Amino acid sequence: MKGAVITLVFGFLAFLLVGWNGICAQEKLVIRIMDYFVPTDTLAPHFEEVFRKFEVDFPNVRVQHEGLESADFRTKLAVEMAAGNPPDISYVVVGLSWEYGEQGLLMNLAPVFEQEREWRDTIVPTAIKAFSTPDGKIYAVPFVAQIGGLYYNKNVYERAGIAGPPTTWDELLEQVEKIKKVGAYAFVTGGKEWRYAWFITQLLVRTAGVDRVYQLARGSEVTGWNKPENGFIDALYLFKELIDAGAFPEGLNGIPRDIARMMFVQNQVAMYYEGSWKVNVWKNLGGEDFLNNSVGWSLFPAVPKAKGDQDGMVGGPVHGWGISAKLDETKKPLVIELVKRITSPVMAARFLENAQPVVVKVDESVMARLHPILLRQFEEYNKAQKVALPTDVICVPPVDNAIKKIAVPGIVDGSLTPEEAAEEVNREAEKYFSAKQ
Amino acid sequence: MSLRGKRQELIEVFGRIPLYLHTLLLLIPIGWMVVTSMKSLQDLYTNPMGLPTQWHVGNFIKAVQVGRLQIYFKNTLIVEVLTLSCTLLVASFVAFVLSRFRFRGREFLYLFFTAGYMISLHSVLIPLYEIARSLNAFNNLAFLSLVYSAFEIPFSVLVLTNFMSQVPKEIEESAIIDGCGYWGVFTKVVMPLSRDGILAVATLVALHAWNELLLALVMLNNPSSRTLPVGLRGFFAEHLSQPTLLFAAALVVSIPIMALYALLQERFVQGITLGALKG
Amino acid sequence: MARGKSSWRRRQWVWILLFLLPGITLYCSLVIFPVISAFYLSGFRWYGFGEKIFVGFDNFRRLFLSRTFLLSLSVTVRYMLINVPLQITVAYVLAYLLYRKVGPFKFFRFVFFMPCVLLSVVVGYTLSVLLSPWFGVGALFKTLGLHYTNPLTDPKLALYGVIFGDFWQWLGIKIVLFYAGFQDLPADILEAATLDGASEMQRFTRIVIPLTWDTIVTVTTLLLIGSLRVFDLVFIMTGGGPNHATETLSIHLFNLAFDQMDFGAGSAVAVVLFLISFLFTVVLRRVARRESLF
Repeated sequence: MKGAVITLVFGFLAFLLVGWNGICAQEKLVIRIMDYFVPTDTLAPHFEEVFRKFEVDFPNVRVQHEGLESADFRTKLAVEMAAGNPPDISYVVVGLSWEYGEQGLLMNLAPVFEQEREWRDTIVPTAIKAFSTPDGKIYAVPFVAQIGGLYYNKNVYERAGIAGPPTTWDELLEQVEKIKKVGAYAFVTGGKEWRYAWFITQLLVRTAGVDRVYQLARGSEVTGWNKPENGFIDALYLFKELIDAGAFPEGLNGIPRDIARMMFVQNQVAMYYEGSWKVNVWKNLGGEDFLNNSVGWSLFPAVPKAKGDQDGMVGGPVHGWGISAKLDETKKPLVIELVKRITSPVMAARFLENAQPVVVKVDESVMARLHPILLRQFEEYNKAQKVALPTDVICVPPVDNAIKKIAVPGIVDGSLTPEEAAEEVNREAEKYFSAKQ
Repeated sequence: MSLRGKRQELIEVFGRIPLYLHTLLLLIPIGWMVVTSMKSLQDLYTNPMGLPTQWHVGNFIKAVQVGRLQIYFKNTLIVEVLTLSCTLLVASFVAFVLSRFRFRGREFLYLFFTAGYMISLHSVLIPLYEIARSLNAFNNLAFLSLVYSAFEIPFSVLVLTNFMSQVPKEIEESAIIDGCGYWGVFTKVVMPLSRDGILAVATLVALHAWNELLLALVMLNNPSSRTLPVGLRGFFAEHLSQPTLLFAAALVVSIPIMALYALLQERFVQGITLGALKG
Repeated sequence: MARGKSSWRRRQWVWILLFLLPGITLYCSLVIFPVISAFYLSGFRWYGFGEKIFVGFDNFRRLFLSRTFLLSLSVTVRYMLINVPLQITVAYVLAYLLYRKVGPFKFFRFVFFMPCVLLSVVVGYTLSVLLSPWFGVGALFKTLGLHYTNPLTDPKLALYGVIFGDFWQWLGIKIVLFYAGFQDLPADILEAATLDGASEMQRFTRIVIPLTWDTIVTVTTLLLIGSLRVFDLVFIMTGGGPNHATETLSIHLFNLAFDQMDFGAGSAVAVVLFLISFLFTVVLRRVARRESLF
């Protein structure tokens, strides 16, 4: 059995080699950047271009790009942060940037911006303000904003004999009935990945108002989710109305986001409420013709019986690039340089072309080439007096999770009443904020 | 006709039904997967259960390219080789000692090692994660293989001890008289005679390492160090609206193992049986 | 042989230790130490970063008051109660039929065992598409004008959906194991029974089952413990199910640890998992009346 022994020894050597290799490959300086731009994303090649050029300009550096699928990315980032091992650069939402910044995991960029005024001035001032904490610290470079609205499928509307998007809640309910009659659904979303945040925030804006939303997420009402006067229970009741009216497909809690999008593109669903990036999704999944001819956009209908802001929108500066606070002095300037490059006007233009509104100032010519729907969104956003950020951006993680993974799914499958659901969310809020004291 | 013959006939007629039913249950999804993997998306939407209008064999190449399957394949192979070599080496050493030596505490050690099969990888996920963090061993395939090996030890020791203890004392003694040291006895006597057991263990360990999802998912963040289960899962999650592409990928990944299985069917079955029942 | 007894003893001990060293190191550091660690961590409130706060049994208290944990216990128990009898009976019967040479053995064994070598990721995905309303069986129902509910997205049916997945992929292993068990049946006793006029059923129930009892218990034990930890297929097919409807203990542990970052609670679930496994093993050992190797 000499053969066996040789194989075993050989294997062991291979083993040592692989392990060793892992250690030896450290001669180059590695910059790790983590986001949700997977290799097949339309923006991925642009990132690659920037990275390769960076590696040419700085030959002792290797850029390791970890683009993970959205739901995975949120989990993985949380895990890495928890491990105290933040990626050098990470694509964070503003709420998380505050969370991680306070934990000392993300670098406070205020001093950096002080020094690099030129860079800072390329970013829209309201975005910097939105990303800053009350005491002036800022833990991510603001980059992308989103604007929420109602996308509607003109083909389905035609089939159902509907002229245009609803302007009031009652109109919406009427439309739900007409749409059901032709065998389609009024709304859909990726229930499997708990993509409820935008919708529920919009309802909350209607029932509680933009200011109250902020108070619930970060301000004086952080543990007031279960109080009727704060409107969250009403928002859940509105959602329940839609569920009971059959506006969503059955088994919503199990529908994957990809399938939900496909249903919209396949003319099985009339409306889809989410942010600006969906414009690009409709183009990729349904083709340019579909986007240009069959997709419309409008603001969410008013809910006269609700006590909040009937013209309030959901959106604002959402994503930014966070830099690890644990960088040593040699790495810091390199990382900052890389971040500057991925937020350059060129990259900003690319993002815009992919329906990701940026908060970086871009050339007029770029703006002119954008899709009319996007331009309309910008118009409405700039006009709007009241805008709230969605709950998955602004709330602390346990509360965000409680809303989208416990409360809303419970309403969807009827296992929770709105009061119970609000109670669940509040419980998480109380647990979190009491631990903080 | 004798009673026996009639009974045999009856059972043959009725007994076949469940067997063929189960066969259909297994073959229909696989067949459908094969057919669908060569459809275009249009075909899928218009005629989900039927045959394609055109056979798109190019789907397979596209699947490998888009899904970057070759990277995942390579990584899984690395993990397989490392896990197998480590497990067999370590477990056979331990089994050798436990089966052929007499010393105080032998029974305790045996129990110590084999009782570990109650401990599943899943339940110690968090501590393992902590260990990986402190060693900075994320994305390290060697570390992953080490962990797999460690968890295969209880079962492997159980089976190998069983096999090795069946090697007759006389052969060992005559080898010692011939001047073999313990190492010689191990390599020239015990190991060759336990070949069946080793192959049984190897089959099962290989199958486990091939399929393991959870730990790999948690440890392997970097897309270029992912194993097949993790990589495929991510790939599937990104393209749920394109089952034709995903089925093509699934087929590409499954064909090698199915071929291996077809060729080595006996070994596979022997491995499972000897491992589970004689262990 | 002029070797002194004591030096021979010492020499033996050196070899023993040498052979045992890699095994003990690997096993203790990556299996034993983590288990102790899990017990230790379960007594702390710890969210992955920041400090660990000692809370004693509080994690367990909160766990048993937690709706999602109790639900995951219920899911796991129901999974075991449905899956184990189902697979054991079907596999046993099919294996027996094969043993009675009812059809071409090699062919059936090949087909039955094949799904076991496929990746769980592949099986999970394929079956979930097959069950979907848009591409698979659902589309068929639609063309026939019938109403179709996707088992995997319906909270009441999801558990059956994932059990179906387990059945589809893993029945083959049990069939192979039972078939091997049947090989040990003494053919002469069976012959004698036939000659005495025993019917097929009587032979089966009075002779075959009792004589293969050991195998039955072994396979049942393996299946029970396996079902306790089930993760892969369920995770791929439903990710824990529409709103936790298929969230087994292992998936719950994963969610607690890597979704909610509650490492303390996750460790508590790990301890629960371990204790239940231990309990099952001990009880089933008694039932099997197996003798130890020595």
